[in-house]
Amino acid sequence: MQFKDTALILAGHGSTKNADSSRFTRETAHRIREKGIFGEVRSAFWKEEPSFHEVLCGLELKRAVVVPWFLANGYFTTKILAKEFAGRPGLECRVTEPIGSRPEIFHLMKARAKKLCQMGEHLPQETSILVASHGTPLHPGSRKAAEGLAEQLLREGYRSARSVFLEEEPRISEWRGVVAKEGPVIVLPHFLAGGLHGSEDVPGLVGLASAEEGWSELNGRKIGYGEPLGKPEEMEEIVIHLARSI
Amino acid sequence: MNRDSQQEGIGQIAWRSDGRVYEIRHEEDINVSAQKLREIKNLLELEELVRRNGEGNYRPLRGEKNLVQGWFYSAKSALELREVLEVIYPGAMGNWSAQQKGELRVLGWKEAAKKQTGRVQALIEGGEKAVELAEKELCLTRCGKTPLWAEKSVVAKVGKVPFLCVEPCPLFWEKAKNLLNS
Repeated sequence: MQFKDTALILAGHGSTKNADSSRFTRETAHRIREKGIFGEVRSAFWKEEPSFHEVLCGLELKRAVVVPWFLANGYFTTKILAKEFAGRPGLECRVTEPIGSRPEIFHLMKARAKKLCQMGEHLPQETSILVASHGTPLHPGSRKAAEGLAEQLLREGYRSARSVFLEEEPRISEWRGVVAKEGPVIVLPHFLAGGLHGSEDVPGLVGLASAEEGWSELNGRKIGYGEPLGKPEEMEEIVIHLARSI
Repeated sequence: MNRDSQQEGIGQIAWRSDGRVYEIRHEEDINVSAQKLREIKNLLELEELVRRNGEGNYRPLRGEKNLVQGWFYSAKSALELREVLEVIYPGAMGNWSAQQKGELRVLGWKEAAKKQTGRVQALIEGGEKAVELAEKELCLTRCGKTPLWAEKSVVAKVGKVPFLCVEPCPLFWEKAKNLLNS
């Protein structure tokens, strides 16, 4: 099915400090444009150019669907995007659920955990999982999304699965008090690839030297670190599905 | 590309067209032999190029007058040209098109600040001097756009597409916040 009368906008956060923050959003937009499904495909950012206001100014089409490049229905999607993309005279604008709302996100997290178990030759029943997410006192959505993923992962037979946060309790730095007393631990960043949180903040708070996928030893304990989410090849179908379903 | 081909530009870039192919370059490279320039073959490669300045540092302000030189891109259609421009100067052609249609919406700094978080909103009461200084040091010095939101007018130049700024950018807010706090 074609949406030639519709502009697709990928709306992300972006950064004024980190060169890679918007990289995968922009790359995903290019990949989807090449498929020729939508009349126009644009990306827009809170902290980069074009802004949400600007991207709407420049659309040729009079119908737009906005897919939030966010992992939770939290502060940005409910407060900022809803207001910025409320539409304007002569432009019909609809905002979908964020990419993090799709069930594929759980499957991607599950695959990362499974791959790490295989890499480290650890059994799920001896391995603790930590879903490291943002969380914010401004909105419960981010926490809810991470807790939901941890619950689903627990049902996959892991020794334990809990969520830890940057801006809420339990904090990522306090992960030792959350996981089983012994055995390997897998940290899965519930962050979009390219950003500082998944590539620097989370590994730093856990005590790891790098964000590379794989295992390392920390004070005698095996710690596995998974890849952040958001790789274009994993996200493009999710974005297309959300845009088509509205 | 023949030097007699029609030349246009925006910001620091210029392009020539023979009606079929649009060759886009840094404006300072417009008369340099293509053999001395690196050909950028797709939009992803172009994204990588424009993301950093000549020193390899991140350039979050795409309108900043520090676009790297030494490259060219051959767009095979007007549509591809538009996508190339969208990578180099996101939103710029759309702003110009909207202005031509009388549909451009410019947000003054106070109106735009209301959309931001509390620390930016603090500028609304008593932040005029910080805003004025940020405009001078960032918008009028480093950026190539005309800040319509600051009531600046476009100076028309033949063959140049007006490079318009319709609302203060995140870098502007950061600068103004820092100036207010200092």
